[in-house]
Amino acid sequence: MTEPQEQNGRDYAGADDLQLVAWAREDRAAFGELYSRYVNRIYNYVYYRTGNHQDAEDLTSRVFFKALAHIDRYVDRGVPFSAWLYRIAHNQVANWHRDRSRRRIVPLDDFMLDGEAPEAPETVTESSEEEAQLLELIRALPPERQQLLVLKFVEHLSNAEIGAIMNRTEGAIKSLYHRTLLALRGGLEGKRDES
Amino acid sequence: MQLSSLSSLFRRPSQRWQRNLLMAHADALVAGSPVSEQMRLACARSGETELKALLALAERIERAMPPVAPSEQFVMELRQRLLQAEKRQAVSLWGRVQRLPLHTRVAAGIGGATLTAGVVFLATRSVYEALGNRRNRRAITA
Repeated sequence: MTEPQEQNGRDYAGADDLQLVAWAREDRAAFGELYSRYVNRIYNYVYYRTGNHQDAEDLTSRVFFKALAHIDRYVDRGVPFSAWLYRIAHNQVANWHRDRSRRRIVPLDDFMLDGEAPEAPETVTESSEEEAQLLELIRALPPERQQLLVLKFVEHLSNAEIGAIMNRTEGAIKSLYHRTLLALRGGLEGKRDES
Repeated sequence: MQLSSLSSLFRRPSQRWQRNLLMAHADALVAGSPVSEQMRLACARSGETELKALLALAERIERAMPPVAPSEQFVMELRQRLLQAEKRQAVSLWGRVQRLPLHTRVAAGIGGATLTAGVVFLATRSVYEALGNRRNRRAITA
């Protein structure tokens, strides 16, 4: 990253998100620092929600352009900047799924196994066939459950952070996680019965 | 944490207790703590087969979802585009108008003046017509 550590007497690397947001309203370098901090996380999030690198890049771009355009609107009311960014990402992914379903009406199984297979996470990680099957089931879950799994297992966020992003209490997050595991187990058993 | 002390946790499972245990296991898992495996083993020893299956499933999810990284080229290009875009947004509307070529500004001025004159003419004409109609009606009634 070519981010300058200091410019205009400002210590970007040492500043917290809130300070950077305040600077970023008029200072491009401050937004650059925010971008550096979150680009990988947002990319990961979008990647596991879409299943391919091309769309992950496209949506990651949209998320940051949106954040840049609306940075004036961000006000810290107990929701951290990262949570605000994830919410933008969540909305972008939701729009992407909606547009995609409008353009092509295909069975869910076909959607899961379409031409993007070479770039799907399962191949990238060289995981086993079972893991590929599991990822397929995860992508068939309702959006909020997918979101929870990505935030927990890919982003390694705490329950409080996930709660802030999803606008839920920590208790609700735990409950959702429990239900998600039960649903996945049911899905895996169903697959086993089919084969 | 020892396996024996963990086993005592599995005596009275309730929904809430299960939820807490599952989430604690997930947290230990993503933190790379060996406690997550000890939890699963303790669970197996206590005969909690359903919980054991869910903990094993969580471990599979964790393995199936390793972090990925965007390409360096993408990260750099997007960064440049963002910084340039912000620069463009910082220019005000008036600033952008002033940057236009002279003939474009003159044409826009003439066009704008013509449009305004047309609107004013139409509005005035309808007002005069309304007043004329009113005068005629009064004359007829008189």
